[in-house]
Amino acid sequence: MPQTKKTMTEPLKYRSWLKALADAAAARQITLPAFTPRGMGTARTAPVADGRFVTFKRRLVSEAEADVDGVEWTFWREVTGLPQPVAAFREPQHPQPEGVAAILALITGWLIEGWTADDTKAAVGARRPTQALQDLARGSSRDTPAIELHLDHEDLPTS
Amino acid sequence: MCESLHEVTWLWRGVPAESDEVEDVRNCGEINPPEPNRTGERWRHLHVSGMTETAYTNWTTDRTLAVAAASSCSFDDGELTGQVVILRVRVRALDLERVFEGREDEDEYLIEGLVEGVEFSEDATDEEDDD
Repeated sequence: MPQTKKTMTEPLKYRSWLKALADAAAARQITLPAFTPRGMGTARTAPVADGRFVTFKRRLVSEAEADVDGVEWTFWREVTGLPQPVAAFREPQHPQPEGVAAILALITGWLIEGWTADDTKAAVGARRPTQALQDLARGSSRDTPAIELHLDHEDLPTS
Repeated sequence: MCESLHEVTWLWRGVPAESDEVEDVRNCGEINPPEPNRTGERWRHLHVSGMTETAYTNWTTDRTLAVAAASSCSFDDGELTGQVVILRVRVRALDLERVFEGREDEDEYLIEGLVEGVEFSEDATDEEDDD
């Protein structure tokens, strides 16, 4: 019987994180709130029952930089009418299957399974240990060095 | 006030072809932000963090970034066609008191409130149009 030589293949690259997530959720029979594009590479989910939602942003950086950390996911909760970020992290602009599965698990945990803010931050930290929310926010705006008000989660329910 | 745009001719913005903004630009050359009352430093900070339902719209000085950004959220899912539209506005037509720099590590500018004089950009040769 002839031996066939196995060849390495590149993992499938999706063009869009949002499409990749939608496909992965459908394959796992997970009903995620849909992401609505808002222009300039931003999109957000509809809020779920307790004001939680997720945003996606394609950072306005070069292709080379975007290949490293070109998209930013942020998990939010609206408290008394003010959206507050709970966790944020960056990923390469081109999704890979492992990353899609990981992000799907995080989004499902936050939006559907009701993870606490602390659990969510811990899960995000486990995936991207160097990308704490404070690190992303610090100096993130040339006009606004940092707004710690939005980084204080002590007023968020923990369950 | 934004002083870093004095050498810049155009700001660019990419949106899905199905965006209401496309229809607004076609009808009157204007873009309205989704939440006109959400102004100020706090809302700008939230906007650049991804929560864009504010009194701002975000733009860039680099047309290729506008294309890349819009394309990252565009795919054919039955409601979207996957097509993007690139818009531009002339910097000298803007009140720079209403233009703010975004994140330090991104080529991002926020315009507060109504943006008038918005045009469609057909292709990359528009970048050379500095009349």
